[in-house]
Amino acid sequence: MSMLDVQDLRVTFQSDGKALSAVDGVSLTLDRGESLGIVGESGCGKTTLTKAILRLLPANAKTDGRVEFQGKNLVDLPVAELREIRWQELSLVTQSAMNALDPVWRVGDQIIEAIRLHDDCSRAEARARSVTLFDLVGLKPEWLDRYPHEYSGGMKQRAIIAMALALGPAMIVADEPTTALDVVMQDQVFAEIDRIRAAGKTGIILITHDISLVAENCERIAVMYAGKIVEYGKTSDILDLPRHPYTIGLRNAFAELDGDHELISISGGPPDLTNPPKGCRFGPRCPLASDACSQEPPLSVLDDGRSVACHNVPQVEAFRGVAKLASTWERVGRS
Amino acid sequence: MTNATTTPAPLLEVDDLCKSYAPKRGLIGSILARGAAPSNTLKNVSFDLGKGEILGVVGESGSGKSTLGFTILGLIEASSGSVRFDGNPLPRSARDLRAFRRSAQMIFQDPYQSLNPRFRIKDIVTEPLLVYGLIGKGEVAAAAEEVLDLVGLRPGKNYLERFPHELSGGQRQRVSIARAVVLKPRLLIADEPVSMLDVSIRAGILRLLRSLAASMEMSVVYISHDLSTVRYICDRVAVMYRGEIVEIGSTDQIIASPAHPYTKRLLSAVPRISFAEKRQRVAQHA
Repeated sequence: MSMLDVQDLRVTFQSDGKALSAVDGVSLTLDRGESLGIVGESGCGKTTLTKAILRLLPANAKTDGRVEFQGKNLVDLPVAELREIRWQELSLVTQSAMNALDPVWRVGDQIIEAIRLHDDCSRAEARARSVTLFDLVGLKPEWLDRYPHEYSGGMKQRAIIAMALALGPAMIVADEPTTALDVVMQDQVFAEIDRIRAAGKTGIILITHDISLVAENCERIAVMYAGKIVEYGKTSDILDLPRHPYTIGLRNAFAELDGDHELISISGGPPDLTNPPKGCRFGPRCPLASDACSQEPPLSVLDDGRSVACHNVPQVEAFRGVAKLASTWERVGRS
Repeated sequence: MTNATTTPAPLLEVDDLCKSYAPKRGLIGSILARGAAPSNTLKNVSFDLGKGEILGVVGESGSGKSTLGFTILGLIEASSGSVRFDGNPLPRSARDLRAFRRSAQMIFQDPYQSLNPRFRIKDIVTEPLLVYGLIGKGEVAAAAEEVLDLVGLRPGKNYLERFPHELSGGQRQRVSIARAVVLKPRLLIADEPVSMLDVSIRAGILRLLRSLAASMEMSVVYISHDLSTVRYICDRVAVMYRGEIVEIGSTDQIIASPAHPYTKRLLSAVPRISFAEKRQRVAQHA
């Protein structure tokens, strides 16, 4: 059994008497030393999914399904036990994590406090461990004694990553960890994340809209659309030769430094989840949609081991050519 | 592609532009300034921008990209150096600035913050026309419809009565582009216009800017830290580092054979999808 085993996870929000299904039947696994990238447009449920895994959703969210983490189902774990696991075993790094640092405390003291809260150790031991952690993320020890305002944005984000690692968690969930940073800082942060993963003790879930980050940092990828996984498997397989029309669309829309394709948007936007389209949720934006798509497609395993939720997988190879034309995608949006 | 070679007179001539801020004074100021590098400054920035040309300005946070944009528009006063627009120095009097701003517009990164939430779309996009007395109140709807069509919000009349919160991020950015181009400016400064937008809609905004630049013969300064989008829209690229342009050249040349070590480092930091070869990180100095 995997370290993390999510089975048929569903999250429903109640608001104004309407039910909104933000995550709809998602299953995935993660082991130590592995990394999984979750991609998709804004509003596809990526962040809700990870918050559901970490049980950080607000009270109006109802979570069903199983989130087995090291043999415990987090969905109904008592809060006291959950609190033990968080940070110790499960860490979260968010986009604006750098704002999570307390401005009136020295950064080092904030890390030492976190370590001592979970581990019974002396201040000196905690301090020594903080020095090691800072070294790991490329910060000199003297920065432990400085305040957050003295740090640059990239340094703060690296300090946050050091804190996320402080207790040697089995899993780190990184939700757009570098979106607030420029490309040079982003590169530094990912060099660290990758080193930590490669050490083999930690599994990483990376949420991003940047598919090139997933290409470089994750062996597996899950493409989400409107609360569901539509394509899931080995990153190199899927990004080299996507087989779900939505993944093809994302790939077309992505600006690449060394790509030679025309940039093409996917017309329209993700559906309103209080009233999702019948059948395939991507149908209204999909140039390959057919009559079959009025039924919801199951996520089926293909011959190469990836899973795809599309009725028209056999037609995808023929579609690949016309999918490179902007007019193919515009036609759908206009109708 | 570069119009500068075919058109003798450039639209914009930036010559030896410098901007420095006085160091913070007093006890609090000196504490706050401790260790802070004076990076938000411009040092001897010079370049020409041809008519209808799109110039990318790239660099990391704090390299002075936005300061350059603001200085070109006269929103920040330069410490020294000059900006010439269509052969004339940047105006100083309020009246002349007003005339200048009719031909030089700007769009910003965050379409969620740059549109007045209490204005209807038709009023947002036609306000500049009313300010300059180019249309009367009765012509607002027709003028709004026309410019909304132009920026791809079609049919324009479906958007007239809406408020910004009813639109998606991409639609809002189109509204802010409409507001900027409604005066038919000759220069547009676009400061990170797609970095807040979803990847799936960036392409549409970039194509729109490119087609507007061509059809209106509008010059564009495209400010971004993202080299991969620059590639799709810019004729030339200027790379900024700590307030200086360290390299400037055609987009293809900068990306294929960067000369300056900083450009190389910047390019090497861009993640790639290609699985054929693993990218080598250029050593960091941090």
